[in-house]
Amino acid sequence: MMRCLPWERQRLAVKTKRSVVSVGILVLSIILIGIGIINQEHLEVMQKAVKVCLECIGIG
Amino acid sequence: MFGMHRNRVGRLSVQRLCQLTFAVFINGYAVGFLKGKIYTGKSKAVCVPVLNCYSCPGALGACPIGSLQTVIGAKGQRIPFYVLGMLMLVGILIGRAACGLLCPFGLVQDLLHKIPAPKIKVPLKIDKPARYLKYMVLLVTVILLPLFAADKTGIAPPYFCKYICPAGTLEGGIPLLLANESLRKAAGALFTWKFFVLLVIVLASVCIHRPFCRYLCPLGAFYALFWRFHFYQLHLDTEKCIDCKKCERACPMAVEVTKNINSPECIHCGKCKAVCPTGAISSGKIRKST
Repeated sequence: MMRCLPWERQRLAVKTKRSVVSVGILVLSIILIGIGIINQEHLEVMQKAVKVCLECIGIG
Repeated sequence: MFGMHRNRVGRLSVQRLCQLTFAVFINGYAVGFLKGKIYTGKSKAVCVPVLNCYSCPGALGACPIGSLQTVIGAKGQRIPFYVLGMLMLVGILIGRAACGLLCPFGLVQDLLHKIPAPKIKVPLKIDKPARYLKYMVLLVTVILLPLFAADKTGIAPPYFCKYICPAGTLEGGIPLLLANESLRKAAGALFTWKFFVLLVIVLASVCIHRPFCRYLCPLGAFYALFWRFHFYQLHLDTEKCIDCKKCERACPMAVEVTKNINSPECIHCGKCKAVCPTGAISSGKIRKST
């Protein structure tokens, strides 16, 4: 059976930690979108987006 | 077979094909350009992953930066869960690949840079600190000002959109003003200012590659925060690398590819991968071997 060298083990640990953080952020982002939809924030976004944004186009 | 002609579909590079397809896809309401009106359907509740003004006559989705400012600056300020979640989702899945492969304003800058003119390589002494400017733009104009500088009505204007965003002027302002006389009459000093900002960025884009993305874009700054963790990463096989530095010379964002291939500045345009003579660079999801 092959054994990992200490530096390889350390590198693998860092990679695993990074993957865990990535999955954590992914899950968190989905939760945030869910909370936002429950709070009807998407409707607020839509309300703004369906009107001409005068500030955005430089009218004021 | 490795070299310059990889990553191409016919005469177009994969990057250009992605950019064009996505620009048409998110701005598909062609009638809007003719009538000088914007799309008002339900898809506008969804934030697109790029800087694309929701007042662009063709826009089918909402601009995430505009939406973020709207929710933060609304009466009875709340945490913008929905928009933040959307931005984090894109940030963690593809990071700044959204800038390199999907952003229409990035495409505009890429095309402008194709114009034959003297090209400027910004000295590192100026370039490196100037890149932090986009984080300041994100913090100040997108978060702090909408949070603390509301007007008499208690609603804060979208400061970034109002005073800086060149995409809004190009995609929304100019087409709407051309097609709509009442809007044309209403244009004043603010439009002149925004047009001036756009003009400066357009002229700078001819000589410097993607100056807006490098120094000013708050969306790019937000996505860059995920550079260490997003799933779509580049990999450099150090055993195959012959240190010819072709990748670094080809990189439009001046990333030191051989030192830090997954830099927060990398927009995943794939140019380094295309020029690598040994195929040492690959892309994909996080791997344990890098």
